[in-house]
Amino acid sequence: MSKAGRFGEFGGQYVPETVMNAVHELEEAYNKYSKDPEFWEEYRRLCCEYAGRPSLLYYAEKMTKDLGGCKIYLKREDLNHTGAHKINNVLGQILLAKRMGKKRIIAETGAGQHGVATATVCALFGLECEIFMGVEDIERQRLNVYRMELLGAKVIGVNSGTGTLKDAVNEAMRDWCMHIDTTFYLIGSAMGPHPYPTMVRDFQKIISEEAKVQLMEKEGKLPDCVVACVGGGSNAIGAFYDFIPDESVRLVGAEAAGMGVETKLHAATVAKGDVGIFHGMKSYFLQNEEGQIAPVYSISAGLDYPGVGPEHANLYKTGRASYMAITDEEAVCALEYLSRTEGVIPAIESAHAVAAARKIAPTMKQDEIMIICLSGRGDKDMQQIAKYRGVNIND
Amino acid sequence: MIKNRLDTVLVQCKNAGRKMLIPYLTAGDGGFALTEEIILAMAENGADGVVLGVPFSDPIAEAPVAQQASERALAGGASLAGIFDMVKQLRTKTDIPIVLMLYINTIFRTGKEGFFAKCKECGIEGVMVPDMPFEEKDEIQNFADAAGIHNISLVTAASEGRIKMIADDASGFLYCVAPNQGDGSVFLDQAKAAAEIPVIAEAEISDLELVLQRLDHCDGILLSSAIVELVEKYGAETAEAAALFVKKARAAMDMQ
Repeated sequence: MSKAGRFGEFGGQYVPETVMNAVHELEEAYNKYSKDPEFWEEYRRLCCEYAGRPSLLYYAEKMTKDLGGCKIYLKREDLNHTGAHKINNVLGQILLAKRMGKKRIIAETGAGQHGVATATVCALFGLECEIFMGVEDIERQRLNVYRMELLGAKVIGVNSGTGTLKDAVNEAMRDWCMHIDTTFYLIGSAMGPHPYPTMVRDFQKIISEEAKVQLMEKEGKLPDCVVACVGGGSNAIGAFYDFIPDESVRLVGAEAAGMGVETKLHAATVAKGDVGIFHGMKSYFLQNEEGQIAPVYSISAGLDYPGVGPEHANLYKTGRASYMAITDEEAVCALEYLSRTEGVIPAIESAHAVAAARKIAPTMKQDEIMIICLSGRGDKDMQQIAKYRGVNIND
Repeated sequence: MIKNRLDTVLVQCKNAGRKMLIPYLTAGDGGFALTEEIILAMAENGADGVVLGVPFSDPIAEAPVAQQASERALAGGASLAGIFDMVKQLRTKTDIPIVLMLYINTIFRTGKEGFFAKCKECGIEGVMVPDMPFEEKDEIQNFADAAGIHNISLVTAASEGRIKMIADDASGFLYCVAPNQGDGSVFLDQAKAAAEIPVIAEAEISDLELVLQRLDHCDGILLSSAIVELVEKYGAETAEAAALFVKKARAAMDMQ
């Protein structure tokens, strides 16, 4: 029996029989087009001319001096069109959907960044677009909901469960089961059944490929450390991937500790999770002793997920990457810190990576180099950060 | 090969030319005492087996009716340990075959070997795992085999090109989820032609007409939502309503 899409013991295709033919169809299409130079040429052209790549690798001089450790560079995915790394993956998958003749695109979204990127590219290609979003997330990301609707997408509120990202995934999977012939499910992170984790990784690895070349031009060497935030883990796997064979490069994921890993209100999957099988993959999940998936919490809707992509699970298990849990308070402080130090307002998700970097950088030597993947910009979070700090910015 | 009670009943029904009637209900919806009462009432009124849904936090393959039942059961404190205890207790009163429908994480997290040993100990005859397709079957197959528990396979109208492969390797009966409209019977005929074991068709609604239309194309019916809907409607009084529903369905099926 074939064991498709495994990363060590993790990954797999644990999905209902209803979608197996669709998953295989996708797998075959991806295998075919990922070997087609024309496909990649179109992807790169759109990445450059539509999304604004390559994204800058910016030397954060003030932050470097302030922390007094290694040299810090920011990989500015926040400068991409739609304001995050998500568009890299969406462009890739839409090009695939187009070649497969699919007319209707569905996607899940947490913070709304993936939803906005999907709605954007669907508008560009004239495709029908429906976005599943938890009602809790709709509440905390109203601006992104409005953006998606403005772009012509239909946003479907998901009431079930905790009304967050995992429930949006559940509902998108149910919809996919029912409309398998016409619909392409555009998963936003490096998670889910094979081929998604591999495919999404391949569309995000452009982050590390660019960063490697850019740093080589500026410094003539590899970084010593790469830091990225991890929910499902797509920007992190993209930022890590090209450095995985370079064993001198330390890879650090920052996951959401919410109110603290010692409380019940967190989403620190690697720190507190156990191996399980959910959402199509074997990986680490926050769950109880009978395998019920735990409700999770983070100030960041994009990291508010009880699992992690299977490639990260394997990087952790094999010791190639380590994962650090960052609390809401640390992330908000890091958001404020980067805003005031470098004039860059990061997304609250990305601020988790900045917070981890603030802990690691002072322990590193001055001739060492760290790259922080700044996965998204913070405009969408202003309402919530103001609320967190007790500031009323509503009239 | 006779593994357990389920095989015995499958053979009996086949020999008697009796179409099987297998209702589904969510375990612990309304409390375990109610689940037990409903199972006994259905067993006495013509059900040939029962599929017991194990409540799960994220039932991605379930229709809204069963999702809500799962939520109610969990909110009421239902657990896998409680289900095992209930079935063990039930086995002093009835021999009706019991199949658990549950998500793979429940088995994985419990520990595969221990889970199937416990199924055997309590008198459970089979499992159906909606998020474990044919390609991932060997995640549990050896453990199920070792304990003599059927790992029941499912095919749907979207299984084009896969029915034979799945049917050849299926155990107990082949569960067929056919569309309510259109070519439901065509699909069932394909499954029937491919399978050497009995073919049990899903009937999602409580419409007896549809159940009867399906009968010529399968060896039995799995009522996937009728009883769950009754629990939602009648709560603690469901046993009587379920008994009546099963009795009516049985009579209509036997008439045909």
